[in-house]
Amino acid sequence: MFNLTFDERRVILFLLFLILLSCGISFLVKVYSPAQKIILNDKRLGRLDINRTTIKDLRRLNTIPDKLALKIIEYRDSVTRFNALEDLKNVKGVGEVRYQKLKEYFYVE
Amino acid sequence: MKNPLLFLTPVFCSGIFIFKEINLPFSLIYFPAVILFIAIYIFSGKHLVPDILLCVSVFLSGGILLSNSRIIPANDISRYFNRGQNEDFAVKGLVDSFPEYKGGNVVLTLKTKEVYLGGLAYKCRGRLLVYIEGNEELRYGQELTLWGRPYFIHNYKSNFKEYLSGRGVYSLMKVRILKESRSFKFNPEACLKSFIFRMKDKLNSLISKNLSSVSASVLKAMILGDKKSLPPLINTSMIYSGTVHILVVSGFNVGIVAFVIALVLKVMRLKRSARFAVICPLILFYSALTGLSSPVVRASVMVIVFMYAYFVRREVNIYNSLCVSALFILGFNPNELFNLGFQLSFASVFSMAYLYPKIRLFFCVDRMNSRFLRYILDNLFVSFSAWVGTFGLIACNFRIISFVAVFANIAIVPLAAFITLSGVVLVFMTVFLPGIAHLFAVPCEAAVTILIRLNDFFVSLPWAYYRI
Repeated sequence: MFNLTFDERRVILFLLFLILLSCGISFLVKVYSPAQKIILNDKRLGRLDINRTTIKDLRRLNTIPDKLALKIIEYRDSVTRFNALEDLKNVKGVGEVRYQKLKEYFYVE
Repeated sequence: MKNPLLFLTPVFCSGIFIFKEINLPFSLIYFPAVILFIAIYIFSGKHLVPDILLCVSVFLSGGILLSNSRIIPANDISRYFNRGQNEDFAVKGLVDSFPEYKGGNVVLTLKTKEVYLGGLAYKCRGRLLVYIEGNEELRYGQELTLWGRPYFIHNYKSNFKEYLSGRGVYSLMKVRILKESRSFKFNPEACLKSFIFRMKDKLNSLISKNLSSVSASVLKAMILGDKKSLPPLINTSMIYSGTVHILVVSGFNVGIVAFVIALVLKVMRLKRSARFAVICPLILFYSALTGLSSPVVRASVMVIVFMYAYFVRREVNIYNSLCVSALFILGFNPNELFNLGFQLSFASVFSMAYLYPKIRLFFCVDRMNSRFLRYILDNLFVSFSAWVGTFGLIACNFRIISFVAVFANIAIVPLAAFITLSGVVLVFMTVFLPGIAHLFAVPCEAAVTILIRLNDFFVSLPWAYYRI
């Protein structure tokens, strides 16, 4: 049908062999790549340093109203830096319920 | 058979197409293919292999490649996201694409390394499409730690899902907390990519510096494949006239760039081998600069095959080189077969290679005395052949049949070639002789204006296009 020479056939067979080999290896790697667990309990993960955070960072969180975000930044910049997360309760507008939510987003270095 | 690849490539493509439709598990295709291959190998030494077995093997290999490309690795980032819905995750990884600024968001892909959940860190792999609110200045290769809400793409519309999964992206994330690391780890691939992105950025600003905003946006689309700043009206108008192919970097642009480089090297009286050695890397660099889309890779592979044939003084077979480039692209990513750019690029080139010589022969163009008439007819036939090859795909995907496309292309394609040439010269001049660069900007600006006016004229003709 193709009138391929012996060498041409060998080239095609070699390429087919490469496809089979690479797909076989790739399949094994994909299926048997175990999830390697590293124990790491870093309090900073997925949280913002409240003493360094900016108004832009707080807005991106989508959970803190703009007014409250401004009050937190104002409190930090004008009064004092936060020594502990509990200091958040001193910001006007942050009660116990809101504090419980906010503490999930911040840490103090 | 003179062109065996012309038969084997469609067989390979049909393997990809059919196994996409029937969606068999990988092992069900792989093991029969291995048995078949062993049988062929045993009998090949005795010249007993029937061609039909070879065809079946090629067909199955297409299916294997596609099936393998669709397996999501066990430690892919999307597997972790799939475990817990409506939960926020933290992910660490490297920026793996040029960050784009869309609708107040930075959009990029992240090559993930670690995912954090439940106080534990897991090693992971795979790419993640990331949306970060704001205009953060991020760079390719930068290490980021992101925290946000992940989404698995299986919940999305099928077109978007297909598009992303074809690029190895199975999940996306809307970021709420972003932490950047300013450290860049040395990685040769990342350094090269980063250099290419910076170069593209630099060329973009060089073009903007010398031309008006509209002309610069058209030139950026034509030379760098950057359509971000292109006014949508111009794009739509060119779709109607069937000339939108000049606004993306395609084989046409790669051909012009290759021609310019070859011409310069010839003027410098470099030897044939030296020219080949210089053109190939430059063409590859240009392809990388323009984003390695299917048409660009197709054209680059074809140019390299043509140059190699020229180098070893062998006759060029356009069908074989076209098939080699198709197999090359599909070998890397079989999902490209379902990409419209791939389909249009190969359909138009194949149609031109097949139909144009036949039409030319039919109308006995070579016997005509007038050189001008021959030139016009040649352009008309090339344009018509490309239109015949692509109008079905365009009608299906854009719901438009452009009747004016054949005539519009005769006028607009030479103008586009001139704009590309003058644009390349303008960029060179801005780099090497910035003092006189403005002189080269004038013809470029004028040509772009003529191009837009000419296109408007063709679109405004009665029955220029028909919406289905």
